[in-house]
Amino acid sequence: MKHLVELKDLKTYFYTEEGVVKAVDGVSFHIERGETLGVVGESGCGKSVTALSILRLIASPPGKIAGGNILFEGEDLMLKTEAQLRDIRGNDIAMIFQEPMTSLNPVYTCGEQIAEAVELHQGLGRRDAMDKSIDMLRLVGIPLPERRVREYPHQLSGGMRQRVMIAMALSCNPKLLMADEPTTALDVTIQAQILELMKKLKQELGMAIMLITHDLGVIAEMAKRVVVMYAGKVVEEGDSVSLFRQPIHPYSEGLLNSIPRLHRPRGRLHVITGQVPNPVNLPAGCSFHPRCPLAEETCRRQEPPLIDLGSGRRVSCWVRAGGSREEVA
Amino acid sequence: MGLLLIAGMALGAVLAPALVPHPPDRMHLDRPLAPPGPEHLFGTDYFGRDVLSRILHGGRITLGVAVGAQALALSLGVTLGLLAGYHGRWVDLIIMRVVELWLCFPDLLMAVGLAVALGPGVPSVFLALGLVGWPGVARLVRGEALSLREREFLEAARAAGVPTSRLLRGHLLPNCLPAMAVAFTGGMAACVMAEASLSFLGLGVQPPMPSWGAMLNQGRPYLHHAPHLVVFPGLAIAACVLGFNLLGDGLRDILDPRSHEFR
Amino acid sequence: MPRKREVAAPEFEPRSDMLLEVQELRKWFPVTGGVFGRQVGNVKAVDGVNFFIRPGETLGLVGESGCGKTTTGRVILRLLEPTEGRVYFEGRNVFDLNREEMRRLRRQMQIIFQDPYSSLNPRMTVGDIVGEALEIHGVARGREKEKRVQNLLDVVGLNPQHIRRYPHEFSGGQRQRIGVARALALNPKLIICDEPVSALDVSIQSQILNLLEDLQSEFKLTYLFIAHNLAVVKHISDRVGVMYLGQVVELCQSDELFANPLHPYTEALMSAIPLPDPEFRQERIILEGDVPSPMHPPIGCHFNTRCRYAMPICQEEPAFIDVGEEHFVACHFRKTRQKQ
Repeated sequence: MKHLVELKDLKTYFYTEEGVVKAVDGVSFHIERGETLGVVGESGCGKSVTALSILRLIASPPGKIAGGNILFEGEDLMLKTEAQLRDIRGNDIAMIFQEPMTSLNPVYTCGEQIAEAVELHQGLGRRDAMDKSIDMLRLVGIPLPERRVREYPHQLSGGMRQRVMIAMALSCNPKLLMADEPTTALDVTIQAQILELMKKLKQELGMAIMLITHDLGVIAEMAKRVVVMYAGKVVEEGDSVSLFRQPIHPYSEGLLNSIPRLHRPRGRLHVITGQVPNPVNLPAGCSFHPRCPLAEETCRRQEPPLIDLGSGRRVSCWVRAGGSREEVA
Repeated sequence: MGLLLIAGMALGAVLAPALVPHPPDRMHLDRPLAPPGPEHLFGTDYFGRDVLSRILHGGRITLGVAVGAQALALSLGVTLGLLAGYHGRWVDLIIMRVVELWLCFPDLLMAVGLAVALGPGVPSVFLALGLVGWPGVARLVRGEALSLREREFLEAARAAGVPTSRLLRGHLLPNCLPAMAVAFTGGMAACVMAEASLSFLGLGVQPPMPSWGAMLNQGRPYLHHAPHLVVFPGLAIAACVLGFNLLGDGLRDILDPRSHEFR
Repeated sequence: MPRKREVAAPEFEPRSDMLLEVQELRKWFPVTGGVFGRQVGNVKAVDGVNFFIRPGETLGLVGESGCGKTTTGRVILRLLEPTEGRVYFEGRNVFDLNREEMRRLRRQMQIIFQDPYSSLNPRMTVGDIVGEALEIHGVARGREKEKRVQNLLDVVGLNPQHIRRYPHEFSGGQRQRIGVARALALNPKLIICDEPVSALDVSIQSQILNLLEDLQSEFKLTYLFIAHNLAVVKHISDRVGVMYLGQVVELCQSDELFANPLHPYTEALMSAIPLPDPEFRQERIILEGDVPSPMHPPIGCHFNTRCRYAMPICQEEPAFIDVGEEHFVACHFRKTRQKQ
């Protein structure tokens, strides 16, 4: 069976005055139909740029997709024209962002903004489109949708705005919803509402979700499979249960150990030493080696390949997955 | 580019006494209204005075007045703007109402009024222009201060017990510098223009003292026979205004901390 | 005037064994409107807060945005003037102090901010940022100051050689270390940490949390740790107070709070946190709707509009009382719930 999305060696570079920023540097992974894939990593690891690359929304200059393929339902988006891409964006692939206030246009009502997408992609008339907006608002759990449809974004709370964003994104029944830190700006109790809503809608509508976040809790809660990114590369991939239970890459392991847990006794936190590397001047070899407790000579000199360990597990590490496959298998 | 122009002008003005081929007031009554030539590069005026010399000397006065007026405008404007922006509430209310009242009058009209009230002459031009200039500066600085007031480093300084005066001088002021530098260059250009206008109207620098505006005024009757009397001071004014505007743009780019902060 | 609530400690005398005691603290921000700028209401950011901190302990203050936790911290430091209430620091009400006394007190109470970018003056060097307090309070200047600053940089894990660098030359985590060094400069007793790690990357957060713990044991510091992340607060705090709409609704030992939450809001808040463990599923209490506006908080218990246990009695304001072993809670239902 064909994957819904397949990235093959995607490279997105930004050409700045200070040098080439390899924001995404050889990323390959896939998304199945109807699954939730979590993409986790810290700021600057390339997770958002990956999503924008899939939509071919990289501003050029300074950015450029320097190589690789983006297959969506088997067709390479790199070969599409701008007009064809516009047909896909918002229709087959929709995206929601971290800050709903800045991604909603303040001078249009919520209804108008949802209706616009529907008119554009589904060829509905104005009235039908507005009816559809009301339906969508009801679907995302906004009380009194007939009234809310006429309100402006600033009249809504942060949680409500994110619901409107989701309604907008889902109004054309996309096959893939990309959510870039959808709950990071929200309070925990509101975050819980939104996550619950996304789970419910996925069941009803059956779209795939690519969930980008730095919050391991959100990933564990939502995603079936997880991709861990560091400095523009995938360092580990696997189903979430086994990845959280037994992370293989030292970065995933360090990340999981460094967050304070509610249900664990107090103790000293594990620390990943050092700083997130400067994207203009990445370390040679494995990008993580200066911060890695296991780093060996090979790690400093040579970039580790992403090795398939079977059962969907892929890891890029000389020490843990390089010559010692038996140990972890 | 702007810097070069301005530096050239300033240098010319400062070194005028050493550079000029003829004393600016020396009348060569034998050759009035001479066209530009090898002896007098920019020609001579009605009294046979060397135009180049007078432009250089006039630059001293024009630029001097402008610098002085800007210094006055900045010191008044920055002080009041910082106070208004930092303290807010009634301090802000009072200062800003005064500023608005002041801004109700067109700049030039106000300058003319003040110059008339103070009587013609260099000091009154300088005072008039300074008093016209400050509300704009105050408004700008207040805006900066208002946006900076929300920044946590000010709270941090207050939490450390930094007294208000030091807070204003040591923390707020340096962060307003870029805006002030840009305001200064813009203000200089406006001042040069305003001085020229005042002198042109006969309210500013009085003859026989050379200033660009006064020279324009005096050259006006001879526009037909001796256009160089008007063209060269006019060019000096234009170049100067252009220079300051270019300099302002340049400063804006250089002083913007964001241009350095990117990694 | 705000109505009086029943107070946890009936005596208003500050307790001598406390470093800090906050009593009935209120901070209302006037809201003006209309053509004439008349006052049309108040945002009751802090509306009757009570707690105390013992020397050497860490009190966590947790709550969602707009609950008043940050304002509480600012008012304690008198960066904002209170509307009402008392804050005793070592038995003295800080709101009674004059300017000079307050200036001296600032050596004892310091703050670490959330945003490592806006909290450092971009036009000052690290040496000036950290050393300014030393100079103002006449502790050290010149060479001596420089030596102290270098020492502080070393303590917080920065290179002392970087004393002449500007903030933008550092990464987010390093900047936060500068903020910590600045707070430490005067050797304070109390440091208010206002969301010190929430702007940082996950791998940097644990570095700063560990640093704060190390410094606490090294310098006998007391922390008021304000954050929205319950896991972080639980990790670092001895005791935790939960805030909702300007009030502390529950306050007790950190472990007790997580094992035995008595307030329905605490319960819901804890169940809302996504746990980084896909195999562990907890029952989730989803709160309906949004937090009400602090301009018009609900009558009685502020939580009654979203509470699943709400009863008619919740229209009356519940007392904030100790149900045993310093477990304070403001809820009419704590008794029945305790029995369960």
